[in-house]
Amino acid sequence: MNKKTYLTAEQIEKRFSVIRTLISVAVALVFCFIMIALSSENLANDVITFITAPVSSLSRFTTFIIKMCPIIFTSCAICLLFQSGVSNLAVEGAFYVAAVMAAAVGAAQGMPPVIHFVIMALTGAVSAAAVLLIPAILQVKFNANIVVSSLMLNYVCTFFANYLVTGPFRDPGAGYEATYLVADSAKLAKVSLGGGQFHVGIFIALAAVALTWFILFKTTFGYQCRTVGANSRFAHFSGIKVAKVILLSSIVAGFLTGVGGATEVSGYYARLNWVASPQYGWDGIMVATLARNNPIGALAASAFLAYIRTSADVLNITSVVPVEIVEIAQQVIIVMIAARGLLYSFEKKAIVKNARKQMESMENHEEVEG
Amino acid sequence: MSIIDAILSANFLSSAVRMATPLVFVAMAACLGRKADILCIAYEGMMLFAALGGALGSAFTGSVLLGALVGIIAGMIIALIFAYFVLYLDTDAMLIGLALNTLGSCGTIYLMYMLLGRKSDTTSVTSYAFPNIHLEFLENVPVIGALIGDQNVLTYVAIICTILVFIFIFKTPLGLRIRSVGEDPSAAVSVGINVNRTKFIALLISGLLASFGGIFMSMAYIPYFTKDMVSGRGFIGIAACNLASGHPIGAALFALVFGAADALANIAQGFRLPYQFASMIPYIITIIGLCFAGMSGTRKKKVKAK
Repeated sequence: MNKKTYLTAEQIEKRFSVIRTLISVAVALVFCFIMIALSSENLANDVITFITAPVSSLSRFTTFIIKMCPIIFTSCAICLLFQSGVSNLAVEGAFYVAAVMAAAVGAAQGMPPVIHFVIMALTGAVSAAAVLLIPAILQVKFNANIVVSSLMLNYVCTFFANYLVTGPFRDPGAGYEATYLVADSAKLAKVSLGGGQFHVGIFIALAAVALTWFILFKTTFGYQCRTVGANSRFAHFSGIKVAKVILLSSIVAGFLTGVGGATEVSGYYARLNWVASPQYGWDGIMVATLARNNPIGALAASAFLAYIRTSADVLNITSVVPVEIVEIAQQVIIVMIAARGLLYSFEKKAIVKNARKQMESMENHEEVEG
Repeated sequence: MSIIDAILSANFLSSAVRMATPLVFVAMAACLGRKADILCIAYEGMMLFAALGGALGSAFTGSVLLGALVGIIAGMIIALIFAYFVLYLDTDAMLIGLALNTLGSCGTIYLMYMLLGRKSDTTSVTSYAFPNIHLEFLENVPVIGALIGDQNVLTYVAIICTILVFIFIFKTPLGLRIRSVGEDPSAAVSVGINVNRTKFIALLISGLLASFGGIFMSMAYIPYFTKDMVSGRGFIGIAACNLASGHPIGAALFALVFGAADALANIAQGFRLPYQFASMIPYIITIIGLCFAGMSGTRKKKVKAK
């Protein structure tokens, strides 16, 4: 008697999910190539640069690693929030504010080395958590739409952080608008690789990925988060305190974001000169969407984004192709991944065909045995 | 001059109405979307493309009206993309809204770079703007004269639009269909209404209104396009709509309040408040407004439950 194992509907759905991801990335890359072709003066060179830039030299590779860091942090924060169904988008502004606060703490003189960075990280964590808590509390207490309020808060944060950088925290000794120098005691160790160097913040970022994964999939709190995200009414009637999940997930996401901000400042900058937000929050959303809100996937997706970003930056220097092509490609990826109905008719046909085969084999077995 | 004097001055009132104009357009667009029960936050993207379309269109065609047409078409293309993906490809509305907004920002910068070689603004070409109109018969009327006596053509269009949208939603058959698919799609289907097509039409009209807000920015507020010039106005319009629970007239009034907050930010600079804090004011007021809107929504649910 032959026993063939058939796929379940969920397995087929998972496969199509992977296919959709690959198609979305492929379409976005095609967009990139078209845009390169439109503005390129030397197409072959530019395409090769785009594909191979981050691995073409060790110093560019270190750029790639440095670019990956902040995106890993924000995407982990977003993964946690989106898994909990909390669309708190203030991660964008929170990162900026946390970085500025951390830079201010980092400028303090005369502090012991490692402890100084820990304090920077804590400052960043608390600042970001405070920012992320605002829309969460307003949602819980006043039922204020968390999407719009967090988006508004991003603007408030950007203005506030800009004020700090150009006002109270500004170093008059610097020739441009920036904060005081980050003290050596606060800086992260650097690793030299060929012509360039990257900072050990990448290892902190990897730890953040592991931590987020652990929280989401190995703790009770994580389970509560995912349940609320799947169906908040069901979670409520199961006894899970939805308000607590909303608030706590925002706080933890804040910690992740804030540590990311501190790491970015301490690792990469001598002084913080951002007069506008570096947009890592939006990058985090795109990465989390690409990774379907899974932290491990977010690590891979962050690497992918950092890769094409590095390519675009190198292309910007070596040719006239603008960096915006990658940002546009990012949005294309988000739209296509978010389109659950893409390929739906194929998916449906595959599930039905699979079910039919199963039914036919069951009927055949009955005939043989009967 | 004390700050109270400044607020009650004619300049402030006129300024408030001018700054409220794009907010009114977006608020109308948001009301229509809300009546059709669609969470559309893509207005920023629509406005940015409409603004760029208007500035570049008028520069290349030499005509204000043709430029405005280009802008409106540009904005409606974004609305079309949003509507098609959300209604026919089962796309998460929030994600595609965010993506289209960000696309608005980087896409317009890219287009400017490709067409003009610059990424900052369109001042290298001459765009045309809508003219201001001075209503002489309102010159000596106390408050109304200051409010609407001397405004851009598009501001008067906004006022008329508010009334038109109100009539459209509550007094026309299509408006009734839109409200019914928004309130109870299955009931609408049972009387033969095509839910997706009605929502699609609602989103297109919504996009048309938001595009007007966009072309106001680059063809009336200032006569050219700068990168990221919409700065969250799309969301403030949504907030105005939420506060009024989707009622067009109420939403327009709240949009006026937010416009006043914007004008307040401008004059606050003269009162030694750092401009960043002044700029925060409209967004903070919007957040507070969202709290009130949320609370009144919860209260209504509790009352209904009784």
